[in-house]
Amino acid sequence: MPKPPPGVAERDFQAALRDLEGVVGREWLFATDEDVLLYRDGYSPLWGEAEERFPSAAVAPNSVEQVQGVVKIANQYGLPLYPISTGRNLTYGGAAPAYSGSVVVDLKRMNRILDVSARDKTCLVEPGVSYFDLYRHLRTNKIPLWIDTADPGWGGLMGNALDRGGGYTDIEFRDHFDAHCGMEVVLPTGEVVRTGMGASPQAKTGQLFKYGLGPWIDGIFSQSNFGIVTKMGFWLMQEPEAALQVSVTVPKRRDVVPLVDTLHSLMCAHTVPSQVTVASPVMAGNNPELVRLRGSGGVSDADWDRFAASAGGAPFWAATFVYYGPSKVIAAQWEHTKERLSGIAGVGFRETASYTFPLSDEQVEAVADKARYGIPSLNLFSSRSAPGAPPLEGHIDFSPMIPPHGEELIALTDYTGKVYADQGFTPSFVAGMMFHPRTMICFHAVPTFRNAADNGRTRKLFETLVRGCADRGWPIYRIHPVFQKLGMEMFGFNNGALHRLHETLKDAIDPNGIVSPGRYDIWPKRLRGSQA
Amino acid sequence: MIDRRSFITSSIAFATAVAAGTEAEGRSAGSGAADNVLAPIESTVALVDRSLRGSAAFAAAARARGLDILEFTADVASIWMRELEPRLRSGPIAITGHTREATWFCLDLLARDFGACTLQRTAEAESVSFVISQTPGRRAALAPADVRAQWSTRHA
Repeated sequence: MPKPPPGVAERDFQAALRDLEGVVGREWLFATDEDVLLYRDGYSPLWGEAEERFPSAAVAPNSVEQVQGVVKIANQYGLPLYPISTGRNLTYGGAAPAYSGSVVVDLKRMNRILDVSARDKTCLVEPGVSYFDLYRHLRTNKIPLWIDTADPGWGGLMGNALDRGGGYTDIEFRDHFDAHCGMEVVLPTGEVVRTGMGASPQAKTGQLFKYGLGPWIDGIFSQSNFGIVTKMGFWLMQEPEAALQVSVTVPKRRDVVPLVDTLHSLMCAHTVPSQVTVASPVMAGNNPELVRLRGSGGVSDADWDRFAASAGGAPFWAATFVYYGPSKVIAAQWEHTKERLSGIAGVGFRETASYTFPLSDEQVEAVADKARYGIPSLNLFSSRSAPGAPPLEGHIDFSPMIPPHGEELIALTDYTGKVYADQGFTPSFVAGMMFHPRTMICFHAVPTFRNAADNGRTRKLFETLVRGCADRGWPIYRIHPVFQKLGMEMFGFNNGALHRLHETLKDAIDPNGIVSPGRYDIWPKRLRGSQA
Repeated sequence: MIDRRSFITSSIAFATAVAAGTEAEGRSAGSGAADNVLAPIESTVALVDRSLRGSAAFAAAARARGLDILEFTADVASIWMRELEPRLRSGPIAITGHTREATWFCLDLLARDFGACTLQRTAEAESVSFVISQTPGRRAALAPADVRAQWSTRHA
């Protein structure tokens, strides 16, 4: 049987489990070793080590009232809880708790799509609603709205939004937390609050206007542990008449500077509506000379350009993005984009896909880059099957955020490539992804293994990257639970004033410290200092 | 090293055995991991990635056993949404497949939420064949009523 949470006596734990069973029913309390393995982090960088995080049990409530019942019992026995929606974001910890011994509150049964308004282009959902669920609902009911899905698309809307994940469609929708409108939260005291206009019981604008009256507090429930969010509203994208996916290529390494500057300007002017990915066809791959160059930490532009020429003359950078809207408007936007970029010598423009909506099932199946059209996909995992892909158990994401400047992307690539190489890893290729209008996120896959020795190397690499990038002005935007303490250290202005504020809030909102202790390094008073 | 014919047919035979509750046949078919299967499983489907070598032979062997065939190319998400997830939700069901490793990896994880797990898996160069089935020993938040009832009966 799993061990009780630290500080909870076995007898009390068993009594708490019986009480939880009374709230949710016997079938929905999971407390055997086999049950608990469902919530193991398969990509854990602590796999098999004493410090690996395991829950003590899990409970699957089906209603807000049952969540309140679970919270009440947790307060009574001092049980740490760890709510999850679908728990499928493997590179940021999956379903495993931040604090070993927590009872996972598995919210997958709360998977009702409570409302979709085609007229207002909004939805209201419970935490277990996945991108698959909402996409299927819209498609089955022929509602001409799009979701903005994470990639891969097997996660849940609420979990991804609360962890501040991103997608690929229009700017209004692809910052998933920013696209929410109104939430319902079970506070750690058991009280239920609604935010925004939803706090006014008769309001007809709960999913239409975010702020309500008074301080807007939704942000404190993201990347935090101040409550269990049980409903969220989201804004959905109106299905456009058409879409055009394009690729803009530039030949030389330093061309990325005007390329990114111009695309950023076009994005801010709402000419380029979608997420933009800037990747290097030249730098992708595993040939030994390329790996050596990537890991050298400062090869000159001229040397890189010589390598590119010797490797077949592929363009050094390619930017991929999509226009959505009426065909005539798209044509004008694309024309304007080409004019603005025409000053870069050797720039290339290519239309890679165009669609008129709605799509048939067969057309959906044939879409190559599904997430850019609000279609959840599992294609991202195909890299696991790629010929020559190294055998590995998984990876965690290292996700520094940089200004949307080409020279920063080059500097980051040089720095992280050298860190990987110095520590004996093949440098991870970096692309700049403009999810947000004024930054780029540069995901690095850091491999994880099923043995302590290799994972020790992984943890050292990860820590070096986090510290080194923060020192250079590129802190991370999101981080795996094992590294959340380290991550928050990088936000230590004024001797950690922000972290102290987080814990002041924690003490006020969660006096018994029951919800997700340690998440984003926010510890309740009773556990503070014991986690150093 | 498993031969090609066995690679293609063993998981189908195993899935059929699982569905019929004839564990002995299942064991002889290749894996010996059928300790916890439900009996009977009314629905068994064969999932085929048409882009893989051997997919036609797998589909033909599955069809000969009377299984429903679900074909897709590379990305299993649409089939999951349209066919597999609804069937797992109302289960019990066994799924045998001939796919890429990545597809099996995704399905194995997704199906766990419905009280299913991989009972058999065989890998070849670019493909795997497998059987994923709901079992009463595996509970999960989205397990269907029949699976939960069998668990409750066994753990009364």
